[in-house]
Amino acid sequence: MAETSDAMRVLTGRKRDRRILQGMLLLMGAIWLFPIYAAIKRSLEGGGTGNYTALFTDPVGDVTIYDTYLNSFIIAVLHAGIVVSVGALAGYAFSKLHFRGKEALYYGIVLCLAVPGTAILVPLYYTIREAGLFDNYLGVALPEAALTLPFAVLLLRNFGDNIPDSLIEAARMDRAGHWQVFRTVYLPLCRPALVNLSILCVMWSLQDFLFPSLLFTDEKYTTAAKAVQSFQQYLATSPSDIGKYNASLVLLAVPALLLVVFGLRFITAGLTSGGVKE
Amino acid sequence: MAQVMLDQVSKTYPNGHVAVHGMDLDIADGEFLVLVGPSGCGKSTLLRMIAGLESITGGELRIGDRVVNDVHPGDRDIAMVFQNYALYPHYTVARNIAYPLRLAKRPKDEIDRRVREVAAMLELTDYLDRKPGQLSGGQRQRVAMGRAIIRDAALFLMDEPLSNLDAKLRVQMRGEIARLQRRVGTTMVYVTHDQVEAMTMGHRVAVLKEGRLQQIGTPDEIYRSPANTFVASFMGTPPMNLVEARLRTGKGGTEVVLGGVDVPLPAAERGYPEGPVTVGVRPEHLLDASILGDTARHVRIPAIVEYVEALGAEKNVYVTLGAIRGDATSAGAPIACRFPAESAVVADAKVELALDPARIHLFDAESGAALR
Repeated sequence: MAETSDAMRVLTGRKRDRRILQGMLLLMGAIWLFPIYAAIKRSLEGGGTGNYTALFTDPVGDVTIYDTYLNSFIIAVLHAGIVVSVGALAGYAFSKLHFRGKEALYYGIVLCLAVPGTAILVPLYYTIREAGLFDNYLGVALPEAALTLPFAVLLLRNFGDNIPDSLIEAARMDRAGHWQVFRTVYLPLCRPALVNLSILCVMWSLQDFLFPSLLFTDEKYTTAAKAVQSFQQYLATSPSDIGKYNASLVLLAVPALLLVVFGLRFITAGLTSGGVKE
Repeated sequence: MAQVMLDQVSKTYPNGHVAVHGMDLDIADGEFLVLVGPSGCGKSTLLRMIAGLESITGGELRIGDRVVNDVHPGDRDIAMVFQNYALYPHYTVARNIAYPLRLAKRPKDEIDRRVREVAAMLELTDYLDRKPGQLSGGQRQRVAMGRAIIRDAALFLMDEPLSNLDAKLRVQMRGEIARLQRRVGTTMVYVTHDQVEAMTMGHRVAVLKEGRLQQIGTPDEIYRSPANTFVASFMGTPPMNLVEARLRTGKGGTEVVLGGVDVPLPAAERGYPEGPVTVGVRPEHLLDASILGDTARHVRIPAIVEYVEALGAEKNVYVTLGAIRGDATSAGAPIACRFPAESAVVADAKVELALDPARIHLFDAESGAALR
């Protein structure tokens, strides 16, 4: 008797928890959806859906919305590519190789997680200028990668530590060199972490406002994040273009939204998985 | 195929810990050698040193006629089976087995043919397209062996390959591995902490303790004439009974007192000076006098039964020597005896043990080394 009432209490408790959870989610959804709804509503003022199509065909300043997508995309892919390739090599080295000063170096790198981008703006500005990388996609992707890499090293080392050493040793005994071990054993087993990391890199690139603002002087390099501000100069000032400006805001949010909706699954799966199934 | 020679091979870690003390071992071409010992005895370290996965800090290791101390693990012509099998979870069984040949860039048709041969030998043909995660423990074990066999290496190393299997499968795989080694004839070094595997699988057994070789010999030699009390108590279930006793000279020559009874030692064992000694007797050599009948050879020793483990075919009987409790020659652990199933002993009853003095082992009371 006591048991059943306990079970009932747990069940009703769970039900109550779920209702509270659902209520909170609904509230958050409303807070988040309302501005979007407002933006979509206002985006149709004046020219209707024409406000949207015009953004793809008529340049605002120097760029169409399509150009800003492309700029953001190129930077994001470069950023992800650099982080994944360097991070994977570093993760392999830190989790599977033995060398003098390994731990000191590792903690030195992880310590860089605490460095915010704004703290290195001035030296970065001069470094990129000296390197001749102003108005160059790499000029933005490289500093972004530099800031992401400590996290990548942390993530991939932890992931790599979960791959049993015996897998590496077995491959080494079968005459595999380090490069072959890396390519045929480590990389495939790290794939969940690498997919994860790429998506995070792309997301961070999409929302990066600071580096593109600082390191691009030519307007044709306007990224989607930066366009939110630069389009405002051209569109928000005239009341006739306010619909178009709102349309641009909606469109600029689309890539990030798509990524969240489709990428989140990988990210949560990757962050919670324990590595290798034995 | 190759012979392996260890000449004073040792391993000292940077922190000063010595895992393996100057070890001398000669492993013949085609031999199946089992390294056995409790955990921490250095057997796995020794195996990994032969494999090249641990550096050798002293002495010389030869495989065939080459000194391989500083040779890369991949260049020693050794195949190894790991305790956790070390299968690649992202590859199929076929790809796992083929891995060494693909690395060696052998032609594709040769790889296919060899994989099929090895799979047939190990009864894995039906599983070639599966991933390791879809296999049972025994099948994974066989895939790991397949990856080792396919290389035609000069030497096989196995590091506790059966420890992750359940008891029934372990018995089956024990036989399979021994059969496989006979069939391919490759020199094999096999590490285990399980004395049953050591006794049943290898041509010779090397018993290790705290990084030192205690004894090497055929399973029979190790069992019949253990070199010291450690080997005596490590091999056999229940292990050999070890009793502190004194040697003295009585009317029948040199005698040892067990359970208040003077046991005269056979002629070969005489001539040791009087004094403390450790007496060793295997459980199967302590017989139930009531079902033995009359024999002149056996000395009768009274004892009291502490408890009985009936195993079906036989009984493990644990007794205290002496006619009454508290009269034991040695306090401490009870003495184990192995009686046939028809023995009628029950707990707390008196029993008469029959012991053939020729079965007694004598060890130095101080060092534990066998007196012989």
